[in-house]
Amino acid sequence: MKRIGKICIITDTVIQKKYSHFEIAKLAIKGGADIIQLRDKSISTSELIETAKKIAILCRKNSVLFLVNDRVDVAIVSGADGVHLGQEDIPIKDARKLLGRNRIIGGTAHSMKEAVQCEKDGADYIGYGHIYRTLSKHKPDKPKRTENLKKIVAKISIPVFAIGGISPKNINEVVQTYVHGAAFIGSVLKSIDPVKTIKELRKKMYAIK
Amino acid sequence: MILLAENGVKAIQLREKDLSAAELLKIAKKVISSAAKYKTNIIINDRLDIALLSKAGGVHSPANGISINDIRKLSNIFLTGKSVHSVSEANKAEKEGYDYLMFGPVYRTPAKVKFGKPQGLENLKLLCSKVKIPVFAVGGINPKRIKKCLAAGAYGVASIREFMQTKNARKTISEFMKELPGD
Repeated sequence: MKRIGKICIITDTVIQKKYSHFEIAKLAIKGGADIIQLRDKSISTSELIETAKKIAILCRKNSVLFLVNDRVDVAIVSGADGVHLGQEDIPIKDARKLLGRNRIIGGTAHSMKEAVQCEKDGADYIGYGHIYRTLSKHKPDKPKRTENLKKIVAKISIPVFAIGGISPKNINEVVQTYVHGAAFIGSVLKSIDPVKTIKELRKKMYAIK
Repeated sequence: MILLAENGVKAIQLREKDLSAAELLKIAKKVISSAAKYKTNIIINDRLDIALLSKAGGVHSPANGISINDIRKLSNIFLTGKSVHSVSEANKAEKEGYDYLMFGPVYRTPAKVKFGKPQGLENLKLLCSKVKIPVFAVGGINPKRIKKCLAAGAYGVASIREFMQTKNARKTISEFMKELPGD
């Protein structure tokens, strides 16, 4: 069984310019993140691989799970623990052929249908959202709120991560759904003290069993 | 793309930076299974994962693309190509083990104007004399220019615009093929 923790930090250098991917990874580890997901759709492949290799080493040293968004090839050659795949990325079944059973594959779901499909296709966890309004990504659809999250958590057997607009202010409501974990971008990276914010989120997330 | 394969084009490079990975993979699988009966190599630009999943013939590494060392971690059989813009880059790529090089823009081409002056036939000739692996000339190539590129030492040519903007693809291909040596 692959051990998947509860706190995932996504490295985003579009919504903020203060920290690089590697700096975010260091802050995330310091704050107690369980998973770091490298996400950059605009840099070149060689830059992405170089960054991924550095973060992979850092994560291994600290026993933190390291996932690469979208690029299955980059995940493998950099020695990451797995990938996170959106609906527009390589299908989970195809990714599994390249990654084997031991690497982790996460899938994004925006509906019950997509969530069920991800689980069926062999995902190790799903990211479901966006739960609240968020500026990290352009979202045409409405926030799912915790009402829908509860339904997903009840139906899906693999770990579910809530994503989208989750912050120290609303995380208690998210935790009440018994969701496995949560992923964070803006609330952490745009806070005055990201390490402190992660610590606070972690404490609240792990308060419930 | 199948039209290209049908009419004797030796290699097709699939390059689509604006498509999602899911769409690119779908297209790659479709093109490769349809082209299987022809002797055309389908090469995927930069995305090693998509090349592996679609059972392509190889991977092309653009400037700042995936390195051959990383490609070889996952495939020993892929044909590997590298875009180069100078003799030193070409020497380095040959030493690293790439199977072929792509050099350009040889002529002026709208897609590459922002990178400054074209390389010209002289630079193509110089570069071809410095490496042993095949060099494909790219950039502003049309049927009339092929002979000059081959005379400069190019192994073959690559073209985007001429094939994509023609009203009669078969005719364009045959005009290209006429200028290139056979098997």
